[in-house]
Amino acid sequence: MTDGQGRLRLLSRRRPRSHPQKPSGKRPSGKLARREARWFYLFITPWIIGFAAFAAWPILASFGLAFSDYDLSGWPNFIGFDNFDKMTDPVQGPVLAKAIRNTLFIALLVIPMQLVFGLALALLLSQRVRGMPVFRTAFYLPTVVSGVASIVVWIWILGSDGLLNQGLELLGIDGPVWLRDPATVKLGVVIVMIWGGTGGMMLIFLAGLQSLPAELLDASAVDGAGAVRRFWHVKLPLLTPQLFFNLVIGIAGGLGVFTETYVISTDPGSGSPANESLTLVMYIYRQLLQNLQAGYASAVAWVFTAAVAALTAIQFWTSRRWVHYEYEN
Amino acid sequence: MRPTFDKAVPWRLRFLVAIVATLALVATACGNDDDSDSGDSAPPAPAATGTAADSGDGLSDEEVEIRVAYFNGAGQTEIDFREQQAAEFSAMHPNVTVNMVPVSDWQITILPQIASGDAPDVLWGGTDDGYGQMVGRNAFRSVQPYIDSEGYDLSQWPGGMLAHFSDPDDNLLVLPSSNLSFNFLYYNKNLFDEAGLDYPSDSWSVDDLIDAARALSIPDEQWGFGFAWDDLYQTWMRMYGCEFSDDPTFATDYTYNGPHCAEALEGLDELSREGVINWELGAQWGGLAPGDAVGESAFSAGHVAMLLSGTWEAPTIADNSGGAFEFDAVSAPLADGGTIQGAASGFGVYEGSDNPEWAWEYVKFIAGPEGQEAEANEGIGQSPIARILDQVYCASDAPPINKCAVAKVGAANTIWEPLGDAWVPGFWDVISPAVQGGFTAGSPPDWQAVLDEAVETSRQAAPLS
Repeated sequence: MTDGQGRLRLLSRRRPRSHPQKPSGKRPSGKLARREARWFYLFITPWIIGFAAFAAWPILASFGLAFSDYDLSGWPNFIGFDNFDKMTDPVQGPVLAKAIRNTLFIALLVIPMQLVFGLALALLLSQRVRGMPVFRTAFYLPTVVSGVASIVVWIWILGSDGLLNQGLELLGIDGPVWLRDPATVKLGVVIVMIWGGTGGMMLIFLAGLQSLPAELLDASAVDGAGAVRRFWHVKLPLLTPQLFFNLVIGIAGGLGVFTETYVISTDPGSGSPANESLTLVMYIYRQLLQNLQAGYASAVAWVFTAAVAALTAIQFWTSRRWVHYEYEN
Repeated sequence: MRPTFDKAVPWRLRFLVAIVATLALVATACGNDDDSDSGDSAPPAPAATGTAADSGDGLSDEEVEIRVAYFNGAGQTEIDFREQQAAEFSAMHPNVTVNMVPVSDWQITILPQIASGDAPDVLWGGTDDGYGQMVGRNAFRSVQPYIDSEGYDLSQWPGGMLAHFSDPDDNLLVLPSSNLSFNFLYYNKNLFDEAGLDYPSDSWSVDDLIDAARALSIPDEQWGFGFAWDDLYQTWMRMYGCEFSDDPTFATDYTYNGPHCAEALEGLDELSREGVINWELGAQWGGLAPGDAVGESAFSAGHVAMLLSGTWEAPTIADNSGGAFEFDAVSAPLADGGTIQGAASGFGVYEGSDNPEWAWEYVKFIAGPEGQEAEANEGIGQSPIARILDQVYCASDAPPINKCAVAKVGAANTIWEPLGDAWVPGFWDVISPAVQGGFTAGSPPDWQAVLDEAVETSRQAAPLS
């Protein structure tokens, strides 16, 4: 029970549960069905129009533009794979590579830390303590606060004599100028992102924790499992769907970092200092709206999209091995 | 098994058809309705006079609406002023409705509108805010035909400025209305007095400025010199005589690794690493004042003895310093062959305007001498016309006392950003990270090597010729 297989054994010992109510498979027929269908299409039409005009069409158009020299003037000319070759040429290659490195650096730090802090906060906030709604609201608040507004506050906190460095000074540490030093600017962005993104993950974990079957937790307690064992062998396995969801969303969000790096630059969107805060999405933004290279920007955007899609697909594929759904046999 | 409500399929089909039709309509409505050839069309001749529905001056009496996009650099003050101008124009021409469109993020707002063929009839153009890219996209209809046919007098404008706002065939694209030179060296008189130093003067050399900056610096407390924004290192390079391109207007090659360019950066780097300069690129070396205030706010707080900026900074300094110290300005010193960097702007007629004649009327109204005079009285922009400088700007007793002389030195020596699409990706995207990397590197770089490599990258990234 308490060996390394404890988690599996506990799961295997759980009482059989009836599956959630499944649809009977019967659907309305005849006149009622037609009326329902009519209303369905009526209500969904505005959304379909909006999606087609403002999402699907631009997405398709950008794919076409990726193979063109379109620079926001005249008509696009087909240039084959030139835009894709440009990503590795001696001029754009190093800058794009730097943007990718910066993005990966930020994402690889931010995502695990958001997951860990989100889960830890959720565990704390799932306790039965007086005034818990206040705590929950407080920790979730950063997620709903305007990104730009909160980043401006963080610029002050991370200033050379800002709040963080004043705190470090009390510990005898001479803090860096977080957002202006090439060596630390990305760490500054990481701090801001962890603060802003952890609340959302916490909420998902909290919802998962609150829906854990009490009988499993009770059974493990009766079996003598302590809090730590119950977490590792009962709660965490049952929270893997939430963990998986947060991971997928976190990776997409972490790789798509833009607002934070855009706002922290003295010259917004410049990637200063020395392109150390230049991220992939900011690079695309720069190519599109500053350099007006819509074709090239589309090509980079599609490569980026393909990479994120591939990562997501890998996550889904591997999830079969580590994500446990309660209703699964 | 198929659903039992198959009979609903015709409804779905009908809705599908409706959706497709609606989409087609939306696409048609959103399409480019600009029939004009956006690129190579010759400037149209001005409207003929005496048509059925004109007022006798070649302008239609029909109800027209013109849109005017302008860069809003002065907040609500400018919005109110521009709206007032529009109302005055409509009062003179009751058939014309003028819609003013203030824009903050100029390039990312206007360039896509130009691309879609739906830009406002009258467009602001600023040399530091995408004017070159706008010209590269044929955004402006030449106003030369109007000037020629009307005999519009341009003699009051500086010739060099008109040339910068013209195409290679000397057809004027934009009527310049403002010239801001970055040569105002503001200084805190109290800090100079405390240090026992003479105030800066017009006879100062760059070395005098550097010596004074060092003498006025107190580590982590007071900084001898500061830039209003970090990119003014380019102004510093120009002060030394560095030329960024082979031609200041129609550049065909990058030359910012030429004579005096590396020398300028070496000197600046030294000051930065000594913690003498209050700027963010020197943050590692003690270059940020308490509260990370930089630029005007650091100067206004009394932390910085000298600040390089432009005329527009004076009212803000006066307000923010609250009279805590006295300040004045001199023109920043220039080495032999040195020039002054600046930003000029004006208004032109959008190539795709449906009402180009009325748009030109409005351009004359706001960017002509009377419009510039009104702007000067409001404290917006700085007229390039000497008479208006003398009568309004110089006659004002607002600080700094020496502003008139400084502005005139600037007007005579200012260099603007070259035209063309390539300048942003070729120059800005390359020099910024290269120079920022140099200033923030652990040890001083070989600046000549940095610039040589950057210029080579510029040539590959965005050839000018």
